[in-house]
Amino acid sequence: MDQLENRLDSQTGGRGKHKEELRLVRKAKAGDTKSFSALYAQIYIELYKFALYTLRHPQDAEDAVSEAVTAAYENITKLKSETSFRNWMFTILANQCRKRFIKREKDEELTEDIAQPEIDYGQKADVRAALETLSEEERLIVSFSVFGGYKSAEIGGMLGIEAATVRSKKNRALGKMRKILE
Amino acid sequence: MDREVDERKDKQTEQQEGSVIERIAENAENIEVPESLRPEAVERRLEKSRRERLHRRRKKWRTVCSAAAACVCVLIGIASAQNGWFTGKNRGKLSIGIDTEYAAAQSSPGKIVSAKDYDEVYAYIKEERKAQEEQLNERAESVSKSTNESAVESASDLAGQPYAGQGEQPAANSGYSDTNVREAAVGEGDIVKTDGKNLYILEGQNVQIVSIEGEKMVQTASIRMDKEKTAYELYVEGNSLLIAYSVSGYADGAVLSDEAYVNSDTYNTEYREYTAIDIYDVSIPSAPKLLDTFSQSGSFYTMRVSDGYVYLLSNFYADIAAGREEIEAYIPKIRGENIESSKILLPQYKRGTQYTVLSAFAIAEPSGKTDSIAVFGSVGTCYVSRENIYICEGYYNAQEETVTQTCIRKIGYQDGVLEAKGQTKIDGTLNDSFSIDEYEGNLRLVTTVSPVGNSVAPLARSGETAAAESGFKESNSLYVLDENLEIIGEIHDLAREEQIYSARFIGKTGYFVTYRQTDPLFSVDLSDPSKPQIIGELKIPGFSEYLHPFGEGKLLGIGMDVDETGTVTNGVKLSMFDISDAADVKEVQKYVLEDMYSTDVAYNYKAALISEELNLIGFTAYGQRQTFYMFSYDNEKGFTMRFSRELLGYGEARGIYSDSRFYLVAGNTVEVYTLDTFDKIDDIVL
Repeated sequence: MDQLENRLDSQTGGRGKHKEELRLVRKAKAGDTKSFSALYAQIYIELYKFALYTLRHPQDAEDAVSEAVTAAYENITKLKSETSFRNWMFTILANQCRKRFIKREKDEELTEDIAQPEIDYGQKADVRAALETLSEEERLIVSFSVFGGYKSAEIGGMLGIEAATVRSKKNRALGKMRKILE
Repeated sequence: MDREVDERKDKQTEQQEGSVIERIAENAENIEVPESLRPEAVERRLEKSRRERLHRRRKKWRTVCSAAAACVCVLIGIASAQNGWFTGKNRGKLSIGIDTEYAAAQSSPGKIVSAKDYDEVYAYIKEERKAQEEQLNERAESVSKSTNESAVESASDLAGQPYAGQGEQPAANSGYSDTNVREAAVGEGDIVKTDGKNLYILEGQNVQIVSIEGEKMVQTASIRMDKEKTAYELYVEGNSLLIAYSVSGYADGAVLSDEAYVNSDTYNTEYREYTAIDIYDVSIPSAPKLLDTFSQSGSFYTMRVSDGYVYLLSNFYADIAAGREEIEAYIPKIRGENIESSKILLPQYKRGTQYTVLSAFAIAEPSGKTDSIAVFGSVGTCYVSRENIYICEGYYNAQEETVTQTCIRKIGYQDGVLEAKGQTKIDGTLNDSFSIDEYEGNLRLVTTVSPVGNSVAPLARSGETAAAESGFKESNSLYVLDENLEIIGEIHDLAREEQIYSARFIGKTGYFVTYRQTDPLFSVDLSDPSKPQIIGELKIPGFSEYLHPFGEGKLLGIGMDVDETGTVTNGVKLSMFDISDAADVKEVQKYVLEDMYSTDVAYNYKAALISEELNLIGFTAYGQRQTFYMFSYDNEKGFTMRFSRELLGYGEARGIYSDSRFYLVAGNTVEVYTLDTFDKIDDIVL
């Protein structure tokens, strides 16, 4: 569980870190690209992994993060609470992923089997197989827990769904995966 | 369900899930993030798109949501007490005294007023806070759909603008290239420097020294910067190597009290952000020795070197939430000491949140005498002539004026001594520092004048409509100010609905490019400063984003080629203009790099290597990949591509020459080529 704790710790951040982020957000809001980039640098690996595991396609993940980052940059003044850059970023990225789900569905209607995932991102076969069993929304929720370190209530808040719904979906998803992994 | 139950359930589930979650996390451990998502690549992309957006928006109403709305409430008091203060007829004139409590700042025309004490500074901070709070409330009420993009830009295009200038190559004769600078004879730092014997390369956290005296390059030393330091520029003079960097973090890593943590409005005085210059003795290049450090508050902005003195500029952001007693939160420090209030120059309006902190010190004696000035207000474009430093900030006040303005403060410098000389305000905003130029004591400027909304919180979209309805569009102005910053000559209403893309003043003539569908290159005769005259207007497709004098009677333009309809970009364009007759400028040659969409030069003149003497024009362009190009020019044959090299990654690259060799520095690699044939000789990975 060490890893999880580390993730949770990095999420809440040391106090110094919190204050520093606040400072950076202020500067980013004033239009400072470097500050924005510094904020992004703290979380970009998590963001990419999140997108990759949610979308299962490296190019899609790259595009999603890229678009999320542009949207965030252009709308940084809208960021309400100066303390939640990370949550805000994850929310934007989750929405980008959802947009892609919808687009894929449409594409699939046109051509079958277009969304064959590229499997070149170094997953072990069993983990990959386990992920394959999940629905897109389930993967989104699992990614939120794994790479964002968020709890069900937080995920619900970010996705605009009930915490209880998140919890049950997450349980279901993890249950499915456990069967394959154990 | 109550929160506690929720959390307990979460905990239970997490325990069960632990193993699955861990397995996924482990599995993801070694995933490599694509190059294009790395922070440095993202930063560059954002910066670039910001610039491009600025350009694309030329026709658009430039709503300055945040700035305009925020200014409104604060400034009414001053403005209304002062009828006609900034009215049409006085527009651009110096500030005239007003009898309000804070009139001091405007009490004598053109004179800069410094703060009496910190209380006076704090009063401005309080006004800023009030204004921002009101702005927040207004914004909360306004439609959330409205994009705030323009607000971000309005602040950032000023903060992030390249400081531009007269880019001759002062070192052209000495056998090696120096950074392409704004003003000849005023040195500037950059990420790669050479003294003809060594290359000094700033690469991530390392400063690498590479000897180029022998047949093969040899890395002689590497200075590793501490993790908390972000290095920005290097400068080399004699045996001294200067490294400019910023540090942010806590002085002693102290833990905040719970109260301070919870209440994010409380400024933690232990937090610091400062800019410093380390001075190394590199007389033995293999053993650089740290001699001294100079530091001041704020993040690094730029530096200049003149006559052995360094002029360091940083941007310090005051915390407007600070209490009166928390002096460190809103007063900048120089070498660890609060700057005296008498050295703080108050803005021409009553609010403030940022400072441009400026200090001078001798390279030979950084701990010796120093002089500093903190220019309070907001931060913006800075232009340094051979004698003066001009700090310019965009000013938007919908209540008082219908157009965007620029506040200018002039600070004289000589031998490390700074002197506040005057201030003024003119209509319009500067494109970059090439739009402002000092010549024979006069200051010439070209600005783009855009309407500002007169609603309290203009939204981007409604703003556009309002602009269309009022019929008032953008236009451009040219000003000539005398040494007291009084307007002595002006032209208005140039190129309606277009914006300035680039400018260059060469002696008694000025050139500037505006753009909508075609690229009018205007020539202005400034030989009589009181009667500037547009004498030429050349229309060609596309636009130049950077102009550089290229020998007698020639002007080089680097920009974009656009088709006749003005909608499709064909690629990066090089233009050579014949300016031997300024009244009849011709584009005599052009070259289009197809499928390239941008250049570094468009927003950072330092990225160019241009030597008229050696007939070299080098720069990096972007298409699918980043490529460094080198061209030469001939009146008959036009531009010839001498060299091109695709670069890996997204880091900035520089081309420099020394003796008969050309060095291409990109990231941690240096490649050497012959300067005449561009054959590869050697390379080194640092």
